[in-house]
Amino acid sequence: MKLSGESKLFIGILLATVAIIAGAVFFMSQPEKTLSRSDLLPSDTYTKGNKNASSYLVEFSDFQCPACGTFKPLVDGIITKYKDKLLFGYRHFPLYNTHPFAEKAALAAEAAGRQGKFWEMYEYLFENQQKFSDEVIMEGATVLKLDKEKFDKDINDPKLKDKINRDVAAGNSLGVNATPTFFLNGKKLNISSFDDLENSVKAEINK
Amino acid sequence: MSQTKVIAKSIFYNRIIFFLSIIGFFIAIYVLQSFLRGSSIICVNSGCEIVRKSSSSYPFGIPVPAFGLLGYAFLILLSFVRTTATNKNFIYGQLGIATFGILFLGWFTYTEIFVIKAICTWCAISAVNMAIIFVLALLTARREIFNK
Repeated sequence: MKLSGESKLFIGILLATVAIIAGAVFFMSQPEKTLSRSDLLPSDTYTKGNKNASSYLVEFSDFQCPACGTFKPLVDGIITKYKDKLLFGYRHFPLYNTHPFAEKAALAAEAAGRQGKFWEMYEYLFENQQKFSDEVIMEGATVLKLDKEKFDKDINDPKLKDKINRDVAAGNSLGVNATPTFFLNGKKLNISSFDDLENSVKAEINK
Repeated sequence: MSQTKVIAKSIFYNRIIFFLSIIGFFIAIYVLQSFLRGSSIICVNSGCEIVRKSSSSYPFGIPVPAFGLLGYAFLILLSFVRTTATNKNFIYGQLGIATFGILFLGWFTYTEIFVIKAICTWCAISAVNMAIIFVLALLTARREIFNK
């Protein structure tokens, strides 16, 4: 069969496109580099578990994100189960556009953290995620018996906002584009089912 | 318009359809592999992930990008065949697929906005892509068949 000039042009276009895309895929699929522990867990990050454990799990999360709320019991279970062998760190990634109370909730957790009750506020916020409002979030201080005056002052402290913004910037530079995103020992996890998270942690700890 | 000009235009439109269909085809491959492997989709916002995880993105249990993949594959094939054959049925074929394409993407964009309440950038690009293909296919059909 003799091809017309136009057909040859089309084959050329097709081959050129395939070549460009194959090249792009090749360069983009280079093995992901392992991120450093200090990048993922800055010293002021709230953590749970064994600080000296060699394995560490970092979650970029949003208190108003339903998926984060769904993952929470699972994360809690993992933290309890592997408390001697794992360090868990919570980092903020409020999705400002879709979750109007996410930032306020993150600030509330940080403000509670200044009174040593970050994790208590973490529990409170996820428990009340469905009915978030300014009042519900502020009410957390009363429920947790915090020094209300200090809490009110801290929640408006620009330093806390800076910390959250720093987490968001870090998340963006580390390729976080959805919540929750988990990093296990410096590697981003691609999770497609609930079991994936625990299986990954288990595999890493047993290495 | 002279017959030569009509043919020249039609060849030019067919080249664009071919190129856009290749782009659409690769977008569909990329998104489909994410759907099948359950891996995250590179996106400008969190929309793609929300859409990927929604059950509305699996009409009849088939992932939405599979429809795109098939549609674009046929469009690539038809525009290629048109470089070797002059049968007008191939033009009708292109127009038919492009019509189905914009109806399907119109329905899916509606679903994204009102049901899933999130927009997947790749689907939006594909929708625009298909709309351009549809317009070109329509212009070709009008010019060739009605000789206008």
